[in-house]
Amino acid sequence: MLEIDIRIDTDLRDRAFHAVDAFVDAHGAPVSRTQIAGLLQIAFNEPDKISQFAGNQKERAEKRLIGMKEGDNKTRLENEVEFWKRVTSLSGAKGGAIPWSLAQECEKEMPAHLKNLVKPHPTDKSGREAYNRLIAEKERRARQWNRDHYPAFFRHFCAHYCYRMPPERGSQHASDR
Amino acid sequence: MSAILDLKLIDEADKYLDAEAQLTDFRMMGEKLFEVFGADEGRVSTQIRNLQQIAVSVRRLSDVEDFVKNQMGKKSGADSWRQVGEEILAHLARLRTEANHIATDEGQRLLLRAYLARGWVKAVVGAYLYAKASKEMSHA
Repeated sequence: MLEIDIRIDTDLRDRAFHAVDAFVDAHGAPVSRTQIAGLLQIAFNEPDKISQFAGNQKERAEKRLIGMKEGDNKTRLENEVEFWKRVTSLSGAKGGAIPWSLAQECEKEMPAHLKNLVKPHPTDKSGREAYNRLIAEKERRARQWNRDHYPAFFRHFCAHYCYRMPPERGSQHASDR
Repeated sequence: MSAILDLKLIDEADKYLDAEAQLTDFRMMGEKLFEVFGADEGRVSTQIRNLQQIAVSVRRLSDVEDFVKNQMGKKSGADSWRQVGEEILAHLARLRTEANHIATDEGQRLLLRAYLARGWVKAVVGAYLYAKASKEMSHA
């Protein structure tokens, strides 16, 4: 537990705070406390589904933007779309262009024999069985890693976001009323 | 990486917590907490009990920081926390810095941060209780 605790108390904490600060400085706080509570709930109960949840929230905001006239509410919704993109990027994003994400960290910490798995030829039956076993092991490890890290990261993230929200802001969100 | 805090580091941490500058800061913090939260019908404020409970039970200092931020960020009932929260967070940040200064091993730093948080909350709540008792005696 010690190593995970250290990580939660230092690296994940710092990354969550910086991510919130960078976002709020650029876009304000467009997401309501109710939505933040939902995000935290997902992080705790179904960490594997964070990206899916954020994607759904983004789509909802995008749909509401269609045909909307310029104004404060449109800006807020555009910022909300950016917020959910950021959450997706912080949690599930992979690839060279992404500087850091939980998914990348998880991949980095996989044992060497589970990295860069290559799918065998369909006719290679024994190779396929071995590959499926490795995939299952990798998925099991990833689920455990997610359960250990996602709730901790998003607890810091959500607490810092709520802290950065202006006190009177809450009353402006329809979903908070 | 040991899960037990080194006795020498405990000694260093105690010296820090007992130093005059810190004792003065902690006392002022406790008095401010009493000013802001007062007492719940003569009993210790629930908010103070919650803060104390969190600080003595967590393994990580960041859990205390998160608690304070969550209280400050609430939609309603956050006014009192917003009056004292920044100062509490500044105190906690100083504890973090001090732990990094005293220890070099990350495992020991983690344990030391939690140890300092427990010492801090003990002193602050002590000062809060003293302010509460003083007020009660002056009204008796």
